[in-house]
Amino acid sequence: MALVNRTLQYENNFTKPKSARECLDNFLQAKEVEQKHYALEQLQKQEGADLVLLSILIDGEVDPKHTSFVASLLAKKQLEASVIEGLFSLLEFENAHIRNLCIEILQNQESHLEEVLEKHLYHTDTDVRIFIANILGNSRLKNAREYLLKLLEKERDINVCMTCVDYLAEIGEIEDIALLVAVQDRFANDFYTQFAIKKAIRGIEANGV
Amino acid sequence: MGFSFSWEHFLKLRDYIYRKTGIYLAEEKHYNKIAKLLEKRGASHNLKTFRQYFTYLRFEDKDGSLFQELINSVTVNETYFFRENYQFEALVYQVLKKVAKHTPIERAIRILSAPVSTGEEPYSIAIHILEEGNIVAQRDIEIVGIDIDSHCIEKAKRAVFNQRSLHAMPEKIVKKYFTQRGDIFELSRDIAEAIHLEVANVFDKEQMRKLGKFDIIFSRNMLIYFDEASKKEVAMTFYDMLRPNGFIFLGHAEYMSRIVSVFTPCKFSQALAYQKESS
Repeated sequence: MALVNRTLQYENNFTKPKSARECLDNFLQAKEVEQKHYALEQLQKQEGADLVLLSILIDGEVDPKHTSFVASLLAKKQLEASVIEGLFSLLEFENAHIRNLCIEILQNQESHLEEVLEKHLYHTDTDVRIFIANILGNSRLKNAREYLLKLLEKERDINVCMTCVDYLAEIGEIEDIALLVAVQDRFANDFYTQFAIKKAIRGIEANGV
Repeated sequence: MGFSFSWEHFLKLRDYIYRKTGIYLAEEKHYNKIAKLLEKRGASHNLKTFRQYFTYLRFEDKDGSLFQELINSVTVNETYFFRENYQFEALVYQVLKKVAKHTPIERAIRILSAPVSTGEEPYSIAIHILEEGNIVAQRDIEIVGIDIDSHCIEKAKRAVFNQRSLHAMPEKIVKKYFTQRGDIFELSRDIAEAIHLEVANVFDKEQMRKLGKFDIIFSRNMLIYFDEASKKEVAMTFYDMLRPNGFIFLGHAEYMSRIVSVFTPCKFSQALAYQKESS
């Protein structure tokens, strides 16, 4: 017995599927995790695959290790508006794991994120508005700051406001301070709000001009 | 001179680094290091103010190179033998024993080191295993090291190091496994040749699959430099490469639970490892 250096020859003996349908069938029928993930990996190369991958997230019954794998594939792509729309609808899901995966995928989107986000910015559910603030705060979207300000201007829920404030501390501009002061007045009796907004203003001022 | 970097700028950058990586910069020395870096980067990227630098970092640094450089400036990115030695101790005295229990005796226990850089990590693992002695007496252990940089792999295969790489190793270990020739130290060829080293890219799933399955993966201080989507992708690739009940070790400032939720954190004395579930 010893430290051994073998010639590594691990060949992939999985069959290469030819269509999205075949990939999905392979995913559903495979027994081993890595076979399932191989099927998903092949699936993402097929035309129309993103919607099929989305459907796996929507299913709700799929094991988290597979949905995590799906998310790792989708997060690397710039998705079509229809797929982004689907991901937004999943923000209302009860399943926190799926919701978090959707947030992670969405915050990596640039091309079509804005057009879909516009429609959902004032969503009726406060939790969804918090998730939207999280997406904006972590995205590279040029207009992320403008959307956070829009949200903050109208927002009356303290938790949504504080999420926006946290991100504005990072990407806000000097001219946003007036709105932050107004929010401070909006929640004048809340100690944390006062503290968080002061900190955010300091962060913005640190940016200078 | 010309790039003004105030303490308030530092605090802003500190909050951002913490949010992105979990690394909290508490010390004044970090301020000085970052100030120096920004002065240099301001000149090379034509970024004249902190505001311009931060906006570029936050919105335009698409390949993450500016961020990587920033993190490099505040972390110890050199590699040396026995770095974060408590992880190697945990490996040989606790983790390998656990893995050995559920691995058939005729099957080698496989360990992956990714990235190997110039080889200090896989060779440290090998030396620890040989020093512990019991497990390797009972069964085969296979160590595989990969790196995307072919120069690193060539250098790692040569297994020739300077004093700096060896500074954290006890002298008796150095004497036992290295031959000194002037300023350089040559690792015993028996050990060097026992490790399989090859060029591979962690983003190339096919290449990674060909490496086969592993019981233990060491991937320290690599994920920290990737953007969120890439971290997730590589974490899931490692997940697929691990055998059921396998373990992964990350760098001390990296947290798998911030990346994916499919591993279970396990504490071994000072060391934290992440375990894949049983099949």
